Amino acid sequence: MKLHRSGDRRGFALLVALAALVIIGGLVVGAFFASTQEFRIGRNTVLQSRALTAAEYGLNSALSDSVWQQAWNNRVDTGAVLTPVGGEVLDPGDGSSDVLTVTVLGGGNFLVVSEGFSGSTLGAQGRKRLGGLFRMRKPEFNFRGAVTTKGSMMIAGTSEIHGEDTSPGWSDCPPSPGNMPGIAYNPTTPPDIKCSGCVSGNPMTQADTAAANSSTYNVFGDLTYNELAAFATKTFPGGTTFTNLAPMWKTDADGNKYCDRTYSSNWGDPTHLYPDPSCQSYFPIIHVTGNLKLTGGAGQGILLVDGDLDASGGVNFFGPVIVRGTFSVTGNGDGARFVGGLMAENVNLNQSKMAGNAVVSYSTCAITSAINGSAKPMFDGTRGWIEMY
Amino acid sequence: MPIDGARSVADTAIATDRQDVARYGAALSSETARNRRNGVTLIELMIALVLLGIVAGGMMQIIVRQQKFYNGNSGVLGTRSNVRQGIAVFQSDLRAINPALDIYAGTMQPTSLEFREPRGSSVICAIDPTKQTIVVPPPVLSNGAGLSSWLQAPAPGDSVLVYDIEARAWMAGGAEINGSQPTEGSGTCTGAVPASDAARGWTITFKAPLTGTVGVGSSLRFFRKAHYELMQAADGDWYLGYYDCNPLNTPACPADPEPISGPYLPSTNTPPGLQLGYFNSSGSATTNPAALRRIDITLRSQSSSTIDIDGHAKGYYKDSLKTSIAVRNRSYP
Repeated sequence: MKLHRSGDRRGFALLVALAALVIIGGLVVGAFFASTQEFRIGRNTVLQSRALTAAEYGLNSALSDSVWQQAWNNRVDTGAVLTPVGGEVLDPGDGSSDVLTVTVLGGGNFLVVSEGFSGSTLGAQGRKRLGGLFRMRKPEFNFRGAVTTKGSMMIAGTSEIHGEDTSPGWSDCPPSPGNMPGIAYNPTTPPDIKCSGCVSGNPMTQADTAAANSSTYNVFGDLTYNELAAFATKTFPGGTTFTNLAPMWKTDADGNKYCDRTYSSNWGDPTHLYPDPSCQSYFPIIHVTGNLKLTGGAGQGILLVDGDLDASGGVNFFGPVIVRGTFSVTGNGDGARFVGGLMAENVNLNQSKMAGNAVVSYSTCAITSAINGSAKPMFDGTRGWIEMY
Repeated sequence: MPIDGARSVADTAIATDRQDVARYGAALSSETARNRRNGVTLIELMIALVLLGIVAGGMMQIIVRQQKFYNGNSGVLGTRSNVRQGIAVFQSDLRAINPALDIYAGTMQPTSLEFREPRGSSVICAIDPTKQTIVVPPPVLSNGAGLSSWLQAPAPGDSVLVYDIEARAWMAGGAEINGSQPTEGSGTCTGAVPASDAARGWTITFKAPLTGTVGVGSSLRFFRKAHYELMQAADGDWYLGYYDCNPLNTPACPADPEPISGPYLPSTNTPPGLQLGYFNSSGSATTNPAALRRIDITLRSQSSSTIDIDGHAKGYYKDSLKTSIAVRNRSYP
């Protein structure tokens, strides 16, 4: 006889409970999945935003002196990939990173690709790549001769002005476009030349309406005088005197020498006589907000003087010189030498007031090298910013 | 004592029968008891039903609440996803435009915009003497330089701007790609790329020769006319619609945009599902593309069904997302 045990009672409460648990579990998992997705989307949005910020940081950092190498300014090897100061990887400081790639495009143009990364390398990561077309922001001086002057011009004694294109003895000089006039002057104020054979050029002197135009002295292509002055790497107050311009070096922690650009009397190394070449590519923009007196040494770059420039002695300067007041050579000295181009409201090269010789020589190479060497990179504003994929 | 004897026999027989009956009765009684335990009384059944009802009711309540939460959560997330997606699309396209040059006249509308959409960039790595055919580098180079990058490969009909090295300006008007679809390996670079990558160039032919001082190293930008608007699709919902134009197609621009994200609130809604604001450098609204410095985009969406979850009002869930885009490129006076 089959006997039933009391444990065999049949019911469906357990089944109902299990089914309910399965349904609830499914819904919970679904809601959890949806929430996780939402979390991930939100996190990815944050990571993408941070990566974009890092990439923008990289692009803007590339414009700074701490990343951009001035020696790149004259690079013409299109396609060459350059390494920024301190390496390709930048640290914005918020946990993200940025990798910079600078490629030479020629003609003073560069493509900067900035790739920003955010997030950990093991987990989710954001990446954004931006590009920037950089071009060198540099002045375009309209030198009309070795000396371009708007006001009075007097030369006497054994001072000399040469319009012939002179090489400063540097390598990588551009081809010479030909000789320039010795003196380009305002047609209403002819120069007072009190010496024989002291001015040469093609022609020796030339009346030039551009020399009478104020914009020649104040507008240099994309830049005005004030904008260029704002780019100055060295600014000095009026009344400053330099007795011995000379390059200066420092030594880093690894024992390597580098050009000390912070030293006020270091205006680069135009002589190329020193064993360390790091100051040879240093072309500062020097702005003096009043009168300046130079009595010795050598420098290079772009010299902007709001007041008068008095070169009294054996000072040598290579590059463009713009003087808003009067350029004069007075006092005793071994002979001031300016190689490049000189633009001044008034010029007084009166040898009778000094013991040595003052020589102003036109030099395409000195002007071009100083312009390129001191130029600053800038975005091409109209189409420079690009989103890269 | 026959009688007694007979009684005695009879008694014995009766006693035997009684024992059988008792045994049978006991067995019967045991079987009946068991049968009685397998059944339920009406009271038991009612109690069980009531308890079951309480349990099932509780469970159903949990399930229904859970389902409401799930649906509500999905509605909220879907709505947020819609607005986020639309903003992402817009942001990427608008950031790199130059408003003065790229926004078509009269198209700066509150719910639509038409502009020249940047599609990629590159540089010239070879150019023929006629300046009508150029070669551009492939997107990936062995030296890590990213000279070419595009959303879609340049195609016939795309407009191209070329940087004039000497003039330090972009060629006015631009050029139009003609001929066959450029492909990798169709041209050889003569500069700008490592020798190992030279043969992987893309040849691009233009409808007319390029002008100005262009050569190896000149930058290129690829564009296509793009149109965005808040549109109503066949299903009756409103979406962010998009089309681009190709002058080689007939017609160059499609009649209707394609929905790319949504749905959003209708354009008749106050405020509408898509709202574009155009501002100048001082933060004032402008209708002049040349003065445009910032574009504000607001997208509004609502859930497809009502939601009923804690923390949100019962009904359709509405959400919006607003972003301000500072255009990176612009023309300087």
